[in-house]
Amino acid sequence: MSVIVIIVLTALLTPFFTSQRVGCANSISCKQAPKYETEANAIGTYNNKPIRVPNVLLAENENTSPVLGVATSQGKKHIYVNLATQTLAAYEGEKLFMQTFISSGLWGKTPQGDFTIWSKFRATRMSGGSGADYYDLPNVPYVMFFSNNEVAGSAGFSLHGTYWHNNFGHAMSHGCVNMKTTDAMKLYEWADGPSEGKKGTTISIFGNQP
Amino acid sequence: MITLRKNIETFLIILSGTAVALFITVQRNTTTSRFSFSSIGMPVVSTPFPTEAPTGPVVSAMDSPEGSKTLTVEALDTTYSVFTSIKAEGDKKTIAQREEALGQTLEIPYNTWSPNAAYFFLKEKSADTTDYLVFHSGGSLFSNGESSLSIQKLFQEKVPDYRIEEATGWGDNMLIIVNAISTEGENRASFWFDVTNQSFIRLGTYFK
Repeated sequence: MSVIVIIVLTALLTPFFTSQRVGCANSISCKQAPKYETEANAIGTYNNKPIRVPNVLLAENENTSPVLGVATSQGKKHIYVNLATQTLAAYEGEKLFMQTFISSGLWGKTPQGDFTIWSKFRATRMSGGSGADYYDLPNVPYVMFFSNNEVAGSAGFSLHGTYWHNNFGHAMSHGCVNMKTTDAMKLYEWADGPSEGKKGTTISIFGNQP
Repeated sequence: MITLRKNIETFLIILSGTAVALFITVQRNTTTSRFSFSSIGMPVVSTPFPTEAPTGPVVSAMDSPEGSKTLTVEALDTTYSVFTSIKAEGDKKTIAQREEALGQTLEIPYNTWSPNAAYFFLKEKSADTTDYLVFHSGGSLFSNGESSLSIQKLFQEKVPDYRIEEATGWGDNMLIIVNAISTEGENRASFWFDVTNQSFIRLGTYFK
């Protein structure tokens, strides 16, 4: 009997100890499915201070939820995020599509491993933190949520544009991968979400954060 | 028979002479003839003399994070011209023109722009000192009447027990993140430099 109890307990607790213990990067997506959401002339909160939020102006031909990105060659798309150097590189096959600085988790940990993009939103609202680092940010632009078997989509980790700081090359987020908005737009238009049974673009996050 | 032959020869000689005379007359009165007889002049080759190759200004630029504005710095010898432009309009606005000391440079850091593109800062670097200069992107003057703020100068005045290692970027629309080390070289700390009131706020978090 005791052997059975041990086996059951081991089976239940093993995932808890082996998987990455990551928090919730976006309290909104941790409670409900994220959605395309914009607000005009909004005031957000960052570091517990009010911040004017840029409006999202959609171009006439801009789709609010493009699934497939623009292909520039025939190779498989792959995004690499190096936490040690705070850089991102996107490849299509052997061909480098873009390379830039990012900001990963400072107040919350950015998970490591291989992920795929499970949804893309032209803009959405993000909220989280507490006390002095509380944030509530409408109109977060060019959001690419990613997940894998260990880090659920509902945890809210994503690559996205950033209008509230400009300190790339240094950790500065609550766990997401922050990018310059112009870089995020370029990546968003290129990267694929899941489509017709195929997973979205792979994202590999690695390296020891300084 | 002989007479007829002589007459034909005479006619042909006269005809040939007339043709030659006509050709010469036409050539003399034509200025654009393919068959002109003008002399061919030797090309004039000036003797080269050594000169310094003219060099243009060294231009560096950085777009604002949301892509609406561009900051441009043009360096010609020790003179640095700083411009901003709104992309949709294209016209460059002169923000500053600075004469730097020999060996001193003015650089655009990667995170130069404030997130809302209202301000930017430049890195002034020499062999032994580094300063960071903050400007209004529209060229307005600060409350001290100057077009720029020297973070290094203000930091030395207000936080004398630390020295700046690096200004990394913007923590929000008005706060520049400054990493510093104590003058004894033991402790590192991050500060916010508040552009609006020119104060420094020591932070609990160190921004690596």
